[in-house]
Amino acid sequence: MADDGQPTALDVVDLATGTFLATARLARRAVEVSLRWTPPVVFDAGRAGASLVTRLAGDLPNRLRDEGAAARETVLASAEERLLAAVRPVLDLVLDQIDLTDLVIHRVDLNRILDTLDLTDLVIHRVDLNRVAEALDLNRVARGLDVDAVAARLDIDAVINRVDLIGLAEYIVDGIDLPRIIRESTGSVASEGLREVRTRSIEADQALAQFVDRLLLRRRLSGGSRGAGAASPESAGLAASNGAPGSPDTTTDGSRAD
Amino acid sequence: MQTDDQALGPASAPPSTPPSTPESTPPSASPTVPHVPGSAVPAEAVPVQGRRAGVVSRVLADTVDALVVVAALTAGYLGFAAVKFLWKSWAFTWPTPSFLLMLVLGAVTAVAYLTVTWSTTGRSYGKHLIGLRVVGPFGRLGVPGAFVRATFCVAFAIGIFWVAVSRENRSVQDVVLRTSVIYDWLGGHDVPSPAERAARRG
Repeated sequence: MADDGQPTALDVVDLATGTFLATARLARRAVEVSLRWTPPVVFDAGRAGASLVTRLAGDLPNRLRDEGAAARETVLASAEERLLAAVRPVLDLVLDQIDLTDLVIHRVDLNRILDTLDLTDLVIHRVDLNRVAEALDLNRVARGLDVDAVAARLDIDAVINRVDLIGLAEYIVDGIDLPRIIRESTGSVASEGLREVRTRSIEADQALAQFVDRLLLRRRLSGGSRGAGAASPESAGLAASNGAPGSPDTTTDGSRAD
Repeated sequence: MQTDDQALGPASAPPSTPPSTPESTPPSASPTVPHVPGSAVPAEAVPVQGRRAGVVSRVLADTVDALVVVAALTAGYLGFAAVKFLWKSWAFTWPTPSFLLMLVLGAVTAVAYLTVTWSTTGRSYGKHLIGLRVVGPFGRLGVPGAFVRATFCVAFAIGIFWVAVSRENRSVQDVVLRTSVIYDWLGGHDVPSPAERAARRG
C-alpha cells in the first residue's frame, strides 16, 4: 500500500495471486473430502479415466506453448511495424524543427574531436591524392606565383654561410687531376718547341743538300730532294721490328749508294 | 769529342715514355703517320719519316749528346771531388785530371752511352729530341753492332760530315757498317715503310 493510501498495480497483482492461492487450497480440500467418501469402484474407474485422458493429452502443454509462442511473435512483429511507421513521421517532424548544423556548431566542441583525429594519416589513407592532383590546374597556380617576390625573400647570404665552401672547394680540387693538367700543358709546350726545332732542322737538311748538289753539279734524286731524307732500306727493317708495315726487302727509291 | 751520331752522357729516358714528345705518340692503325693532338707530326714532316736524316739534324742531335756527355763528366768530376773532400777534407784540393784522361773517360762514356741507347731504343737523347733513330740493315742494332758503330763514331767523329756529300745521307760509319740514321718522330711507331712511301708518290 502506498503512503498516500492509494493501491498500486503491484498491490493488485499481489491480491490476485493471494486470491488464486486461497481458491486453490479450497479446491484441493474439497477434492480430498470427496475422494475420502468415494467408493473404491468409483475410485478405480476414476483412475482408469485419468490414465486415459493423460495418455490422450500427453503433449497438450507443448502444443499450447508453441501456439502461444507463435502468437507472441506475430503480435511483436506487428507491434514493431506499427511502431516504426508511427516513429518515422514523428522523427521527421522533430528534425524539421531542429537546425542540426547550428546545433553542431554551437553545441559540439569540434576542437576536441580534431584533437583525437590524425588528419595526416586520414588524408594519406582515405584521400585519393592522384585524383586531386589531376584536378589541379598547376599551370594556373604557377602563373599566380610571384617568383621574384619569393627570390627577394631568400636570404642567399645565410645559405652561403651554411655551405662549407672550403670543403666544397677542396672536394672539387681533389676531383681535378691538376698534376695531369700541368703535365699535359707543359708537355704540349715542350712538344710545340720540339716540333719547331725538328721542322727547322729538316728544312736546313733540305737546303744544305740542295746547295751541295748544285755545288757538285748533281741531279736531284727521284722522289724529292736528297736533303728531304734519302729513303733507307734499314728503315723498313725498323718498321718491321716495331710492328709497322713494311718489309726489310723493300728497296730504296733507286738512289745510288756511296 | 765530335762523333758521327755522337752522343755522350747518361742515357735518356726511352723515347716511348715521355708524353711530351712525338716519339711517344701511340701506334695508329692508319698506314700514314697519325696526327695526334699535342704530339702530331706536321703534314710537311710526314713524307720524310723513315728517310735518312741530313747532316744538320744529325749534327744538332750529336751536339746535344755531346753536351749530355760533358754534363755527365762534370757530374762525375764533382762526385769524385766530393768523395775526395769527405775522405780527406783537411787536405782537399780540386782534382786536376790530365787532358788525356778526360779524353779517354769521355770516349769510354760516350761509347757506353751510345751502345746502350742504340741497342735498346735506337736513339740517344739528342736523337730523341731531334726525332732521329739509328737502324741497322735488319732493323734495330744489336749490342755488338751498336758497340762497333759507337766506337767507330767516337774514334772517327769527322766521318759524320760525309752525310753532306753522300747522295744517300750516309756518314762514313753508315757506309762501312750499312747503318742509317732516319727521321723518326714517333719513336718507331707507324713509320711509313719505303713501299708505302713509294705508293704515295704513285
